[in-house]
Amino acid sequence: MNKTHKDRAKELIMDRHNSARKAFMGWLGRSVLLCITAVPTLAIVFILFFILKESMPFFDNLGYVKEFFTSTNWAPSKEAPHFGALSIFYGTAMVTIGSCAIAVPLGITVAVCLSEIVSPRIAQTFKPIIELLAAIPSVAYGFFALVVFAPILQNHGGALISSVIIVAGIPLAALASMPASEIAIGRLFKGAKQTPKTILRWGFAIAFAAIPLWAGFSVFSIEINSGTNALNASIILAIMAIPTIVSISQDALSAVGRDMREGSLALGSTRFETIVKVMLPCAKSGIAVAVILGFMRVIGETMVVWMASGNSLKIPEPFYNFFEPVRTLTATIAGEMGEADQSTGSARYHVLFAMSFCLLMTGMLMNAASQWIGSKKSGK
Amino acid sequence: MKTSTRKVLDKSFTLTSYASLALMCLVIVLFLAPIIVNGIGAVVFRATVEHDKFLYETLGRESSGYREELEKSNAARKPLYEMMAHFEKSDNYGHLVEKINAARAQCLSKLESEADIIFAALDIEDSRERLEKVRAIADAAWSPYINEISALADDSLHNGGTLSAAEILKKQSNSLPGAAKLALNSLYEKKKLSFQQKSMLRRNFTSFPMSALAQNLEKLEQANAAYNSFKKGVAELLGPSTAAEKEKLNLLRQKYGQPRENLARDVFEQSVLHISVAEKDAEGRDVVRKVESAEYFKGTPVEEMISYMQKNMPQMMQYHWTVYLGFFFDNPYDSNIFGGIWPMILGTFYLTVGAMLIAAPLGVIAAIYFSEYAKPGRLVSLLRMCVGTLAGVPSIVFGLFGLSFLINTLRVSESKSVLAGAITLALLILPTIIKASEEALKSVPNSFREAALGLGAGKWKSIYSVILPSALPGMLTGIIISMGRAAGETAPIIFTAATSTGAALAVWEVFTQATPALPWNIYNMCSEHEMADKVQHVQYGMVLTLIAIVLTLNMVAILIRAKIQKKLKN
Repeated sequence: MNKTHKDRAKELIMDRHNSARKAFMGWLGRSVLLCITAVPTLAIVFILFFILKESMPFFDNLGYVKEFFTSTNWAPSKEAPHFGALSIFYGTAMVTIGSCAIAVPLGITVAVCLSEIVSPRIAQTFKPIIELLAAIPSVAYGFFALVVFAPILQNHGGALISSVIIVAGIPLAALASMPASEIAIGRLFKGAKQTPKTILRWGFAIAFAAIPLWAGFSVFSIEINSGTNALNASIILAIMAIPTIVSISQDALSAVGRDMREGSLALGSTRFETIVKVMLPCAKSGIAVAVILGFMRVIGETMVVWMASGNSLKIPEPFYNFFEPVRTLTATIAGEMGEADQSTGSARYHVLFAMSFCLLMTGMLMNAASQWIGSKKSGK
Repeated sequence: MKTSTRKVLDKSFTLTSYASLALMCLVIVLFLAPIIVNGIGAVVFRATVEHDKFLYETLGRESSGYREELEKSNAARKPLYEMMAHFEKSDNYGHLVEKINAARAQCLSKLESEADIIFAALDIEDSRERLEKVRAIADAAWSPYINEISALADDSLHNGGTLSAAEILKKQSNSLPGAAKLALNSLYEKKKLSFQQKSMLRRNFTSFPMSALAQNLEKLEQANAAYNSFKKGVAELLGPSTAAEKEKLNLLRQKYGQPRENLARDVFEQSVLHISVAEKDAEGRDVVRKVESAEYFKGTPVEEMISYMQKNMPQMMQYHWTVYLGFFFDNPYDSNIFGGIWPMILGTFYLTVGAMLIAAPLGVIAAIYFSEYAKPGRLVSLLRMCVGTLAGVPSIVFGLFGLSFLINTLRVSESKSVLAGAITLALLILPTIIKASEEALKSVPNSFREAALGLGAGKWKSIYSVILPSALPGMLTGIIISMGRAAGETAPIIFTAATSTGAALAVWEVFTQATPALPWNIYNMCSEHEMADKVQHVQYGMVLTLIAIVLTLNMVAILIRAKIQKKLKN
């Protein structure tokens, strides 16, 4: 009997021992998992640390810093170097704004079309096409911009742009004239008869349509000196940003409840009114996130701007001239790091890190903004 | 607003949105069409005999019908080379040289025999009269010689042989001053002359024929330069004419003519039908002008060569369709002007697989932690936020980070290496893998977990025997898509892994060596290549290969996803 007691006690102890071991192993496994999960966090910390460390020697020198943000004199390889990066910042801003101006309206329209207008089956077939656009490597876009698109833009740029303006602009302007004329009639000629109203409507339509016509013809004879310019980069970047904008806004639009849509339709509004007045306002935070992410994709893009923007160190004249070559931060980093002495740590090496620090900060701020907007939405 | 207006607005809005969809499709078609068409052209194209020659001599691959082609093309080229040889080395100038030399000897002897007249002329008081007289004597003395020279030059200009004529004239202008000096010296011995008189004699009796020689020579040299430009064009088109000449050349692009029909036509048009001629413009600067060679060589034997070439181009080049699968599997030769893109494909493969091997386990484990273990809290939301932030870091910043941390600080390799590039790319794709894997894990129904736990499996056991297998296809989708992304990224590998030239690496070299890779070489080829327009087919071929790799990976992912959806529906 004693023996068995002893054995049972032993078993119990072993059991406890085992469970302690098990618990320890579980804890260990969980910590290992946690450590591995922390790799992205570590990577962020290290990236911040190293980019900051390498750009510190540049930011320490205050004379350079003022020049960096205010001057356009960029001559990093000279005996007495100058690091005025204003034109580079300007080029980045220009290309980013240009591409967003194309990508945002187009992307949102496509998203609306996919989620609200076409049948789900067609939307399903379109999804891979949009994904295909997103999957194509940036260097392929850059190649297209440089080898295929730039010569076309240089030789037939004026005709191309003016035909786009006329073809796309006149219907849009005619459309826009309708609500405008309605509003004008409603405000000014409330009691007028039918005939003057009709005349007024046609007048509005013609006046509105004249704008793109005039713009198209004035652009027609324009001479483009270089096919690699801000416009080329903007268009190609817009194509790259559209998939991001489309897929995220589409998700946001489909997340809006059916009750909203059906309620609006039941109250007698057309589909257009439902979309503009109900769906888009409801999905606005999701669409804002989409725009921000598209913006981030554009601003961090290297190969397309390096190959398509022309890499000129001048601020275009006049400042909105998209036919001039420009240069962006990413292209400068990619182009000059090869020449900068990578190991000795020259001023040129550090200034490029300072640029990437600016890029990194912009990216992180944008990201924080998008996450903040996203969390606000989910909190609501 | 009126109902009709609202209806019109609604209809036209629908139309606009359809138009935007159509525009997207149009963009894809416009983008892919030139790349696909020209990219296929890198593999399937109209080759010339030079392409087969290169394959046979450098790679030891004999294409079918190569011998026959070679024979035919050689036969077609032979008359051209004969014409050229005949033009360059005219045999009928042997007696002319003798004639010229005889004329020179005669002129020089005349100098001695007319010594008295010369002395008399030198003694004339009036300086102008004296000069005229001396000049007249020199003129008379040298005119037979100068006539001979001019005749030679004119003859060669019209009938070919400017090269040998120029040689003769060069020899003459080398030896003439010495001979003239000898003759003059014998004059000086006869009578003591003042320094001025001597210089006058020298000027008139030596410089006079020399300038005539130089004039003729310049004419001939100009013709020769034009002919050499033409000949260079022919060599560029057809390759060197003889084996001995081939031995002397170093670059492959000089050893072989144009391997593709379109290039051959271009070169024929640019360098054979048009030649560059050096001229002086109105302000006396040297300018190089392109002229039509048929116009320039009108009436000379070269015109015949040009018309022969125009007629016999297809026979000389032996155009034929070919499928060059070696484009994918051959090494590049002479900066990609010949050969294929194997090292780039292999480099891309190493980088992609390396990045995947590093990122996939990390990403999957992190996703397991997030979805199975993590309890909501500050720490987890911080970790999650960092994943999002990492996804938002611009790719070029990853490249700089790889350079400063992996290479300059950690020193994972001496300089750029595949390993450093793969780690950088792994960090880049890690967020995508984590998010996709987490989605996949979340989509596993909770009943699976509960069933596994209920059957007595531990947490870990239930994860790896039940949850992971059912989430695997979804995870695979994410991993494959991010592999596609890693394959196409350029900016992170510029400073960490990519080199523009280099051989294919063996597996054990990836830890220390940089590699060529498709994305970087595409950039390099179309922006920094010395002959970017000569290798356009290679550029297109590389872009198509890269897009094909990326899209195939995506296609596989989409198929897997479709399968999962089907399964979920059932």
